Amino acid sequence: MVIGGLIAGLFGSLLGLGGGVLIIPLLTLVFGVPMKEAIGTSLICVIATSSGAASLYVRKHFADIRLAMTLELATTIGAIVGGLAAGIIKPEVLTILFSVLLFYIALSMIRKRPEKNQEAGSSAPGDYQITNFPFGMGASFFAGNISGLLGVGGGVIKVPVMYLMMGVPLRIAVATSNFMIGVTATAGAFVYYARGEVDLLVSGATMIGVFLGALVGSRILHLIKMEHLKKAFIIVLLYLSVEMLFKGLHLHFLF
Amino acid sequence: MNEKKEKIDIYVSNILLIGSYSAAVLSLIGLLMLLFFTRTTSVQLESKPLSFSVFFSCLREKNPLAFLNLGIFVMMLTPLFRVMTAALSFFLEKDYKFVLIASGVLIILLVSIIPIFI
Repeated sequence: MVIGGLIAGLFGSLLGLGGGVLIIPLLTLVFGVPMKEAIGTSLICVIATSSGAASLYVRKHFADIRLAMTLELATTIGAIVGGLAAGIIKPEVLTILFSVLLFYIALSMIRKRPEKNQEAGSSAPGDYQITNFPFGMGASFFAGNISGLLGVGGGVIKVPVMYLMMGVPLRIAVATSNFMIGVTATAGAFVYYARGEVDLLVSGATMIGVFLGALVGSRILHLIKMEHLKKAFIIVLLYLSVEMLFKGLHLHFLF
Repeated sequence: MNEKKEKIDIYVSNILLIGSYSAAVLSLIGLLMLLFFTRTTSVQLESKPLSFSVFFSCLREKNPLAFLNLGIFVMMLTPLFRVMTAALSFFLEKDYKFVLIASGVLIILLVSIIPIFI
């Protein structure tokens, strides 16, 4: 599990994901952990990656803490509602919903064009006008909901919303989302913790792995050809999506 | 203003680092203890989160699970501290609107903790 967490943390930090996307399939498919406990564990790991990565971003002044706090009002409530809802919903349904989420992430990665160079330098928090604020709050609530319900960070929703709808530069959107993810995941994690759905052994082992993986990942980031990594990752996501769907339906695909 | 902001960012960043490192170390201690000492001590292997009264007595007995639990708990509290630091720094900047907003987030988080104590 430590090794599994290590791999999840490594890829998570390289690709800017919370790692929950990989941890939940790993725990449920490979280690046979029940879905809800996997979600609880994943939320803890999401906090671990986020705290590690965010400390770096905050230091470099990429994260807009004011914007993060404001949107956080919506995401934390969303996460608690999502966490409570997950208590009532059948694990099979959660598994299928998770499969849909994986598919969506894979699709959004395929569609994303390389746009890094456009705004490499200048922008700092405060240099831009935030637009569509009410929409942003609504979307943040939804992102929190997904986070609490399925045990992921919700960055997949927050980053595009901030970047495309609210006029926040991409790099700042990523850093701000990273800062928010930990806080959002905490709100959800407490709900699972109170229900007894955070397995100490599983969470502890995976958390250490993720933490180390994230540390290594952030240091070797510049050594890696992102294009290949991304393509490989999309295939993995699509495969996991099918696998989780079959699991939710109590069928067997490859495992 | 900018210098102040820089200071705040560094405070927040340090809180995040200290929190996540100490959480990882605590869990690692718990995990190693579990690996090497379980055979000699009779440890309760029910790895559900411990309630608070049980937790402290387990910590005194050096139960590995208590260390794991503490690590996980510290990790879960790190973001809480990060919100507190932000609130405090807005207060020092005399930006009261954002003190209010950050306090709101803090209250929501605290509400989500309450069920653990019941």
